[in-house]
Amino acid sequence: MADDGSAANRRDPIKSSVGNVAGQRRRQQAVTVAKERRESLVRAKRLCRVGANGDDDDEDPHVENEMLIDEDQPVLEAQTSKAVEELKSAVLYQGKGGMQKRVVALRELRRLLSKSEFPPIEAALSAGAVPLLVQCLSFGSPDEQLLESAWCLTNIAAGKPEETKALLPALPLLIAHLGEKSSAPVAEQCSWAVGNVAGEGEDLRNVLLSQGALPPLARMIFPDKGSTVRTAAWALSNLIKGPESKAAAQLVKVDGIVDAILRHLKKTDEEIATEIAWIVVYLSALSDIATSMLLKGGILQLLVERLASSDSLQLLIPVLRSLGNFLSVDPKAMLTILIGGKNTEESVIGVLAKCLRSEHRVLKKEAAWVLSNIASGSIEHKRMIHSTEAVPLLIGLLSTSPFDIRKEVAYVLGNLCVECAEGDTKPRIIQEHLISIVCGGSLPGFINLVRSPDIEAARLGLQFIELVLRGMPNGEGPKLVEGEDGIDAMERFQFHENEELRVMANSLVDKYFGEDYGIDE
Amino acid sequence: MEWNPQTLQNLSQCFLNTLSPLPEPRRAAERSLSEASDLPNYGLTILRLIAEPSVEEQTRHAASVNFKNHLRSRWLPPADSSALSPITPPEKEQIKTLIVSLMLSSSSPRIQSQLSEALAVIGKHDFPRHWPALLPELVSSLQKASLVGDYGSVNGILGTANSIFKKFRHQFRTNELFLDIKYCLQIFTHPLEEIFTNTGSLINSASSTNIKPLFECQKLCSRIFFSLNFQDLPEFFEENMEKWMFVFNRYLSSNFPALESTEDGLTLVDELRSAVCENINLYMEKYEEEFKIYLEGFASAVWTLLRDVSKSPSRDQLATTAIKFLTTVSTSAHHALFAGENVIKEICQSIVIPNVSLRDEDEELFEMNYIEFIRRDMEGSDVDTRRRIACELLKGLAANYRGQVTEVVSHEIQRLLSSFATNPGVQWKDKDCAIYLVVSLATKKAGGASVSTDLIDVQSFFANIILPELQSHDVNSFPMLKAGSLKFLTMFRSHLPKPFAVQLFPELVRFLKAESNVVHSYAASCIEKLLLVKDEGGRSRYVAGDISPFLLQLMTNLFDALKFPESEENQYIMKCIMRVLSVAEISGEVAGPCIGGLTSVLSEVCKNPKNPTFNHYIFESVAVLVRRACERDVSLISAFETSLFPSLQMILVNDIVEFLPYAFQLLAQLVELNRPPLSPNYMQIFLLLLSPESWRRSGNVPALVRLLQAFLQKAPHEVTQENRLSQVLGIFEKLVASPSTDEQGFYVINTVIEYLDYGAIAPYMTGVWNALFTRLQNKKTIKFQKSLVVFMSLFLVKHGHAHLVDTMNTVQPNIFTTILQQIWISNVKLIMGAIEVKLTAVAATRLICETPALVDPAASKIWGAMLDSLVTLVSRAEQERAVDEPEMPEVLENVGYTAAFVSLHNAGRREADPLPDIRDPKQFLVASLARLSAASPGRYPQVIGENLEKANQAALLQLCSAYNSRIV
Repeated sequence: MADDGSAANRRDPIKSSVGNVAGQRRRQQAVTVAKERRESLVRAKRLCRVGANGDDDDEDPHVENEMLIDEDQPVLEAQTSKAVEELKSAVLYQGKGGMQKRVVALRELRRLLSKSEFPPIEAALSAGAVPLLVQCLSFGSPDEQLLESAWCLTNIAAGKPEETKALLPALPLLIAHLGEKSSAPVAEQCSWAVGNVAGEGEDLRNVLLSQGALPPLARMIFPDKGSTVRTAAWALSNLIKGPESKAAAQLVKVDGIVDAILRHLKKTDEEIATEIAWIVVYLSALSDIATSMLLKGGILQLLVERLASSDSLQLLIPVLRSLGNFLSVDPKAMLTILIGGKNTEESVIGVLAKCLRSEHRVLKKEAAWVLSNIASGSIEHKRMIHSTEAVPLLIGLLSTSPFDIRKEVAYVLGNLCVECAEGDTKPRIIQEHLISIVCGGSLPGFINLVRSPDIEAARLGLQFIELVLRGMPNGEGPKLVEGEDGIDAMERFQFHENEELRVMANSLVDKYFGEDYGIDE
Repeated sequence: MEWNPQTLQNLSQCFLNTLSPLPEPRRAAERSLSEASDLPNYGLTILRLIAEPSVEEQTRHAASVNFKNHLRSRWLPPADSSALSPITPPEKEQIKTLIVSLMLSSSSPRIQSQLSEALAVIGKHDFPRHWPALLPELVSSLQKASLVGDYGSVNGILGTANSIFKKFRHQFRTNELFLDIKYCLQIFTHPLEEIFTNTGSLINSASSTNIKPLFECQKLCSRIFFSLNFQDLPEFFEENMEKWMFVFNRYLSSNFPALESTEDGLTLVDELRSAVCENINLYMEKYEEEFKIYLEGFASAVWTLLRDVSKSPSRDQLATTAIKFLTTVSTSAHHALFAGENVIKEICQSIVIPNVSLRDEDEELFEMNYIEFIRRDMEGSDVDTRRRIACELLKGLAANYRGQVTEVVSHEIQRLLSSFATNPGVQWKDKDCAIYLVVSLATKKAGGASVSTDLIDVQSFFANIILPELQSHDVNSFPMLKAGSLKFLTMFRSHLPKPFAVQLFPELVRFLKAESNVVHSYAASCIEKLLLVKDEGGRSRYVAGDISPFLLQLMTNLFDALKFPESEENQYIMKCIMRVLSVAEISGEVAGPCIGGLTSVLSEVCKNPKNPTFNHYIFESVAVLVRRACERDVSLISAFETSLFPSLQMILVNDIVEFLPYAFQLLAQLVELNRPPLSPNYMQIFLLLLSPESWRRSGNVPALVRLLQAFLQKAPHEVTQENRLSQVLGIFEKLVASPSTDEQGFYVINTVIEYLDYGAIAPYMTGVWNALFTRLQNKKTIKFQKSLVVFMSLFLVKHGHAHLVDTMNTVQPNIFTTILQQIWISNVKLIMGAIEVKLTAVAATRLICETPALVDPAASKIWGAMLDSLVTLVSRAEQERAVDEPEMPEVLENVGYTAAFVSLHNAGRREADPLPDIRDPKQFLVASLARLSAASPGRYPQVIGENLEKANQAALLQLCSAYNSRIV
């Protein structure tokens, strides 16, 4: 974090500025206020439209067709209230065929809750569905009944926050059915419901954790394949995503979890790998123990292979983010990439370049972020990146892309220009890189960042300007900076509220463009 | 402090008295309040007084101001060691419980705003982590107030929220910061949106009565929106962007005649619009992707709005924020919005030119407040002027449409100039506008020393447009055009061929006599900057000979200009005086009037020092005059002394704190220029210098040390008399004990070692070493160790190794070897600075080649280690050897004095090389080693092989061959 350098910065803003930030690896911030980008691709809560097993509607062949009919919402709501009433009487009914009656009623309710993008959850809740569904989840109930109730609950939990919270009384039983004793379809449906609850927010995650949801859920991903694994992995990733780290810490302690994760990443199933990769994202961001265990298990190689072989956006995002996390935490991880195989790093960078070229903003941003972490590594890494097509690509992005990508790209290019060897207190400029990056046309982009209201971006821009001023040969730096109207950009900080930036900018202007105080030295 | 009627009565009286026009009761009241404020629960008591309805409002208002200031200085323990006692935790808690409701229930807006500010002071430190109750309390009060439509309270609460959320701007991202923001978002966004939306519909439906508070509310909501969105785009606002943007757009695109018909009302609506513009500008800068669907709507709303606003003379803030938004769009990926035919022309004519044109306010400022005018016009102050921002828009457009912009602007400039030509007396503002455009659109170049532009041909523009103004006979006609022309000349100064500029100098000298403060300031500034212009290769373009023909006139006009009203302390003129004195040929003929002029100004400002910049340049001017005049003719010194002593004495006697460091530096300069014996006047000052009283203020220390050094150097004999040396060493001991002043301490002791006879200092050496070793034990910073190495080296080369070893060992047997091994060897390779490197290298060489303890074969390990470090020192570049000190714990102390001490460049000390006889320390090293090894052949190559790093062995070998020596 930025705190590391603040004391030093006060003392000598120019000297220390470059080393402390440009040369730094950055972990994704654990706390965010922004919308989680993951959601735009994979929703944190999912509606269960087709049965978990995909094939349970054999007795009701018109369901598919019926779903296409756009029923009026009020009609749907009325039907739902009625279905809940039916369920109530079925639950109360003690006579013969009671079980069958309950299943029929549940199935009807489930059908109504599954047929539209906007299920009539409110109607179900106000008709009192939850206590009935909880009752239907009681131990010893037949699988079909359990499955249908859990399915209803799953879709209720996919609703608005307060609707999700309505599941609270059902949680102990849903969790209980996650265990090994349950049949796979039941366990899967319950994990889906739990996943939706976990997707709601930290408070509900804490409730789930305290009720012991994590260990059984974790064990559900042990098998080699199947939709159960995928659903459970998704639910698990929702459960551990933080920003608190205790769930992640608890997960690593589950015996065999690391092996299971590695195994799934090795296999070809992309859908499972995607969910598993999200688990890895959170583990690598939140738990140092998990990070080192996964590294020992050789996860980097697996991630790199995935990057090279997959074209799935859904998979590439978590894989990129995990890779970046590992590289930001552990300098040795860099070394692994380097030794990992002759041309691996070339292919890593090649694949990252592929992501930079992609149309997807998220992919571009993540790829640039990973590159920035590689670029802050050893001189060999810097040379490696510098020698590839990635550099012109990055310089292009610096002038044309949206702000958040430009900022990430600036970190990469900045890192390529400085070397911060072990034991060095001051970073050295890698002049060759600096020259080619400046000549490639990056300076206007950096100067533009200086004008940005974003504090980090502005600092990055100033740091790069400092490199140019100090490091370009034949004292060309000041001329280049002034040619791009950089003096004006820096002078905007003359009275800035952020002290560090103000001091940095003012001292750069004074040092390189200030008038000589005396005249006859 | 206890709450009872008596206290209430006393305090009320005190606060009332603080408002008294009579100084006596006012001072007494202030004194007793300041005493009372040290008592526990003082803050709480004042707060109760403020809440007491029976007390008169003006008294309570005075109390609320006092309360706010009390919190400001005492909420946190003070950073410096001042004696203010901080407010205790229990009292803080009580204040925090009371203040919100008190503020909201306050019936007086004046008191309410003071309490709101006080609350913000607490919030700055305690919110949110140490004040979890605040936000929920604000939210529930907000909801209650909005339910009953009490917009007075609503706006009070929003105002408070706005001030506590401001701290989310301008910080670097950290997890802590984001946790705080997240916390606030969770609690505050829903109520915020609710009040914003509800108020929005109220505005739509409201009758014309009393909608002001509603606009005030929307403005505050918009400001809060800005703070909460500053760091990142929160999920909540992304999800609800549509709602906000819809309302925002309405405020930009609708008119509200009920309000806008009055000046107050228009100001309020414009404030809301500015807040909206800042928000959309932020979104455009940072969240372009999410925002882009709204962009076109906003761009056209802002554009339409600006056409109106640009015509209006007031509405500055709205004009600047709105133009900024367009500028951001123009440089973004969506700049194509401006690509249409004639769009740029249209922008230039209906937005840029009207905003660049002079307005009455500008003329007023030009006449009434020249300092502020210059700050805005020339120095890029923090105020964004309409003129400047409008030019920024053009620059932004030029980023993608350079050709079009150049064409349109050149055309506009021509149009303005021909309009001027038709009737110069009336249309002079058009010419001003043209000059402003040219100057502002130029790209700044190094040093602000010059600019470049592709809008015009500088030479011909200068000849046709600017020169006529500068050659105008009447320096007082059309002063704003004169100022603009002088500014043009200043900006484009490096473009002007020297012969041309030399011809202009007399014109500039003439303009120093212009009555307009801006004009004579710009003339002075222009001369000053011209004298700094450098040609390729760094040589000054203008030299003494270029100004000598009119030097006397120049100086006369400069000193005369200081007599214009308001220009008595004109820093531009004083800086010009300094610059001229540092370039010109200083003959006796010039020196006399100059020192006369300067001392009379000096004695004037001594009465009441106000403008630190001006004052700094006076002292610099005096210093440069003395230095350069005495360089030519040292006999002038006594004349200078005669002129300066009265002022200097006045500063010392009256203890004019601001000027003491300057006075000591000037005195040091005079002492150094003197030939011994020093006059009794100086010796009096020397005695004053020795009194501990003088050293009490840390701001004076560097200057005092400087003066002490001068005395030690020039009057060593006097120093050693009457036990004065022990007083000097007392000062040294004090300084060296603290990491913030140890450097100064070393300056003193090094000067003692360098200039005093050994006989005089020998008796004191044990004490000196004791002081140094004690400090070493207490706080062993790298800086101190390096200074110690320099000191020991100096001692060795001045007084020999035997004295060094013996005096050190009197403190403790064998301490020399310990220090050698633990400090000297490891630090010598870290020494920086040419003189210091040479000194320590020669000393270390002599140490290993002459000192018996080291030449002894038993000491070969130490010998080798020292040589290793020594070779590092002489063979590697400084940056390879440098080590940053990990942490400077006492930074704060340091800050304290650097802020107060301003070094006079022209009275600086010349660093003398203590070893003038030795030219090259490397050669000295290899020659000494060769001699030493020749005495015991075969021994040293082995020691070197065993103890030196491989790289250093190679470096040593290379040195030997370079100097043709051999170690045998």
